[in-house]
Amino acid sequence: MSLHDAPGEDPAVLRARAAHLFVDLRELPEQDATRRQLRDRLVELHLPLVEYLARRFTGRNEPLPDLVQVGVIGLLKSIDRFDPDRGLEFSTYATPTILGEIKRHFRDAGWLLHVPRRAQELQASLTRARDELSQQLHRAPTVAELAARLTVPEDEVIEALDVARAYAGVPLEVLTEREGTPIDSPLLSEVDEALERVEQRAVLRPAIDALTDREREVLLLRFIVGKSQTEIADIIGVSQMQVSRLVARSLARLRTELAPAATRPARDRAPRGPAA
Amino acid sequence: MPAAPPPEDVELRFPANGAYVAILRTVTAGLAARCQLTVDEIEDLRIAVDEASALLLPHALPGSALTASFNLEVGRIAFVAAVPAEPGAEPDRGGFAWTVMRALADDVLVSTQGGVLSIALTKRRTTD
Repeated sequence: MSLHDAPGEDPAVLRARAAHLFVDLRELPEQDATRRQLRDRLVELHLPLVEYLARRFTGRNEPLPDLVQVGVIGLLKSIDRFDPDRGLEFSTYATPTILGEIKRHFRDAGWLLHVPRRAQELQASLTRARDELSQQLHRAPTVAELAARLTVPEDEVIEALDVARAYAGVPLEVLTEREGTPIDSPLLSEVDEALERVEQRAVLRPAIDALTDREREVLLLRFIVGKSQTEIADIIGVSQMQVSRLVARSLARLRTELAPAATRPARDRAPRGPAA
Repeated sequence: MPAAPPPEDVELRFPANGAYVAILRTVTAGLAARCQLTVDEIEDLRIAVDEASALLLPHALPGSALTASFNLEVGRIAFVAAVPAEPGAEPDRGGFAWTVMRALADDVLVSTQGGVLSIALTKRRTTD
C-alpha cells in the first residue's frame, strides 16, 4: 500500500518502450501478423500496472490472480482504443479502464449487494463478541480485541462499525433530496431537523433490510449508483419496463415498512417516475 | 437538486506516519458518501487519497504532521493533503502512485510553499 509496491522496472523506461511500440503498432496494416506480437509485448510491459491496481482490491475474498486476469481485459481494451496522437500517457489512459473492469467484476459478483449484507452479518457477530468480551474483561473490548476474537482485520471491524453506516446513510439523502422534489410520501418527505433525519435513517435501515435482494439491488443501482432504468435493465438482464415496476414496487414496500399501520396514508400514490 | 447548501470544510491532522493512512481512507469514504458521489467514485477517491499520502509521506519532516483538508458540496469533494518538507521537495512523478492518482482524480495540483508540500485533488460526480 505504498511506493514500495512499485515493481523494479523503471517507469520512465517502461513509458518510452510503450510509446515506441504504439508507434510501430499504428504503422502496421490491420492484417499484419506481427501486430499480435506487439500487442502481447504491450500487455507484458503493463502487467505490473495491472498487478499494482489489482492489489488495491485484495482482502475482499477475490484471489489476486483472478483480479489480475480481469484487469488484463481492461488493459487489452485500452491498447486497442489508445490513440498515441492525443498526447496522453498510455498508463494514465489505461488506469481507469483497468480499474473499471475490476470494479465491474465485483459488481457482477454481487459485491455491491454484499457490502450491506456482509456488514450486517459482521455486525451480528460483533454484537455477540462485544457482549462476551465485555463479560470476560469487565469492560468494553477494544477494536483490536474484537478483531482478534472474530479473526478479521481491524480495518474490517472499523469498516463494519463506521463505513457501512456511512454508505447506508446515503440512500435517505438521495431519496429525499433528489431534484428538490421529495418523493410523495409523508414519511420520506423533506426533513429539516438533523435529529429527525438520524431517526429516519435508523427506521429506514431495517426497512431496506426487509426488501428482497432484487429489490435492494434495483434501488441501489437506481438511487446510489445513479444508473438509469435502461442501464439497470442491461445489468440485471430484464426489460426496462420490469425495472420501472421493480423500482415502483420497492419504493412502495419501503413506504409500507416505514408507515406505522395507524398513520398509513389512505391514498397510496404511485412513486414519482425516475428521471431516466 | 435543491438550492445548493454552502460548501462545508473538514480538517484532520495526524502524525505523518503511514499507519494513519487507513483512517484517512475511511474518513474520505464517509465524507465522499455525504457528497453523494457514486460508490465507484468513492472507490476512486479512496485510492487517489491513498496515493497522495504515499507520495507526500517520504518528504514529511521527522515528527511532523500531515494535514488533510476536505471541502464538501453535493456532487463534489476537494481534498488537500499537506506536510512540512524540505524546500524543493517534490513528489515522485515517475512511479505508479503518481500515474494512478492522476488517472483517478479529476484535478491534481502540487504546490510547495513556505516549507509545506501539498497535493490537492478534486473528485466530481459525473452521473446524475
